[in-house]
Amino acid sequence: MRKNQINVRFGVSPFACIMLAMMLLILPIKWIFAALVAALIHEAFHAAAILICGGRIDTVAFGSGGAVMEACQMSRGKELLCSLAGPIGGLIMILFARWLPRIAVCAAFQSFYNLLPVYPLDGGRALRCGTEILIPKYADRICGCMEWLALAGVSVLAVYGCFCLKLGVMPLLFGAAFWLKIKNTPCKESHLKLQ
Amino acid sequence: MGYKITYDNAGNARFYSNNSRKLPKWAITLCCAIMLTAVLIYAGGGKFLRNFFMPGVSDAALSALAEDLRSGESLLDAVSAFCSEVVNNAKKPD
Repeated sequence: MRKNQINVRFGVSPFACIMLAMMLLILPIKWIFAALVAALIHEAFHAAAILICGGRIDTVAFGSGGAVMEACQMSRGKELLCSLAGPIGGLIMILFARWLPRIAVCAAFQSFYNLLPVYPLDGGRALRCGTEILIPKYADRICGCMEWLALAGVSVLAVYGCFCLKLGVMPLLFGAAFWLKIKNTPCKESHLKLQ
Repeated sequence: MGYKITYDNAGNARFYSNNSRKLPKWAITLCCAIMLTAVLIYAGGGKFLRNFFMPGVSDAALSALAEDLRSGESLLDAVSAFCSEVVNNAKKPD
């Protein structure tokens, strides 16, 4: 039996439809298309890294916060590589900004968002793997501090954007969604879930 | 439990499985309604909710961002210009 066979189950959450509807109401269709392509590139890089590392992708679920890829458990080093693959793929798209400007902007935004050092996101997972490899004794403390710093930063920016810059309710919604996403995700999971 | 057994007048058992329904009915209805509304409003060409959610982000600002990048400007400069424009648009009185 091949170790890295692809036998993927796909799922779409109803909230993904709601999010798509919201995007249709807010953004021009070209930008929505660009955001979807950027998300696809991000997930493709994750998938490629998982398969190269000898892993197996079990499910790909599309939810309100984008796609989540569930893979089998891997070593810390491989998990670190797989976590960073998605954001790296997005950042590579910046090189093509001249030819694919919308996709480059969306990919860059998604990459920076995913690199925030909070757990279910790629940056948080990479930070946890990195610290557990390098300084396992302080891993929990460092990750916890970084997580609270990032949450505080996002909250301050959300409030500032909404009330001081008058950027509408989107910053507040973004901040609230961020809090819910982070706080509803347990830190230790049996499977590798890449955002 | 995901299934239901009923008996007809002749005493024959009928087995109904509910496993095929993965999404709750209310969620499907809600999604269909929202998608339909979105499509209708988008087809109408209105900027229905954009002014509520992110009032500074205009089509012109988004197009300018894409054009800046296409003309070879760096991503950082283009995004900075876009953000300034969004903040300025948001401050403008309607």
